[in-house]
Amino acid sequence: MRILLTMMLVCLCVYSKASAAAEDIHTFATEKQQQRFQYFTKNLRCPMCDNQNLEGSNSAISADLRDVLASMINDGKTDQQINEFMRTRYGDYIFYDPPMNRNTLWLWLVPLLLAVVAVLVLVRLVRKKGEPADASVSTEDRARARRLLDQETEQETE
Amino acid sequence: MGQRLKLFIPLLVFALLAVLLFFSLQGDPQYKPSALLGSAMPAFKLPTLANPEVLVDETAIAPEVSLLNVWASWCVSCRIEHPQLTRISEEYGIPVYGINYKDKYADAMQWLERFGNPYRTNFADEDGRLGMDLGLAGAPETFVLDAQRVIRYKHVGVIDMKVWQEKLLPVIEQLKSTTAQAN
Repeated sequence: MRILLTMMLVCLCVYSKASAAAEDIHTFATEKQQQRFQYFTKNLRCPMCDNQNLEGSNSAISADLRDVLASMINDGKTDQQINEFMRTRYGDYIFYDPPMNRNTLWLWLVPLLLAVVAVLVLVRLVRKKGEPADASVSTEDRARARRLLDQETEQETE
Repeated sequence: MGQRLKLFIPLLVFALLAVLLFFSLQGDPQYKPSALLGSAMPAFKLPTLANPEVLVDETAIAPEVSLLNVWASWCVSCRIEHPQLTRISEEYGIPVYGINYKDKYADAMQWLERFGNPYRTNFADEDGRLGMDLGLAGAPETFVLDAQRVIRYKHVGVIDMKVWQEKLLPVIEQLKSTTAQAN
């Protein structure tokens, strides 16, 4: 048990060290600016590494983008200005949250369409079940079924 | 019979998906078109390696179809594509401009001395700001500019004979023919 705990502790230390490596020193006057910086580094993608955000990436271009981001925030640039800066250079690719436009419209539409189709199918299935049973069952069979059912209920009540 | 045929719908959906996914596999997942395709070369003011004392701007790129190659002495792949760039500049007569990206002056000069200089002009982008304006992820990357200095194509990675003949050369030839028609 003690060994396990030690191992976990070692892992934690290594992990925190690794994440600290990507942090360079950016100082901000206000807490709000610090939060904006964190928001953007979390939600912007590293142009080089496909599956890391700016916060977690050690690549040179990510470090440069973090520097530019910090200076833009310190200069009081708006979110829109920062987004526009990123988009003109790296396209929509840089945003982890893709904006809705002509290319990405289907991302939103297809699930909606599928949901509509699913509801339609469900409605049809439920309606079919509600319909009266197949009329081709003969009256004798019906009577027999009725008798059997009645017997069963009699037995249960006894 | 109609009921029977309905049973084949899942198979049909599967087949369609299989075809779609198969063709999706063919593409390069790393490929991203440049956000700057069709827009003008970003403005800059940088020294050149040939003359570090004087700042030049984008008009230092002559108004003709040309290549703009991003390189650095620390970039190993740049060394690999270097002979191909020399061939492009010497045999095909295409002007090749260089952006010396995030490099030290002395290292860059030493590199050119050692491997040769196929570039008309090398813009020294020491802080990488022009690279960022070009939407760079790293080096090497190469842009094709038309006669109006509009970015028409971007290749990420090493230029070898295959890339040159199958990707860059057709773009260049097409741009040259449209330029010739316009004149």
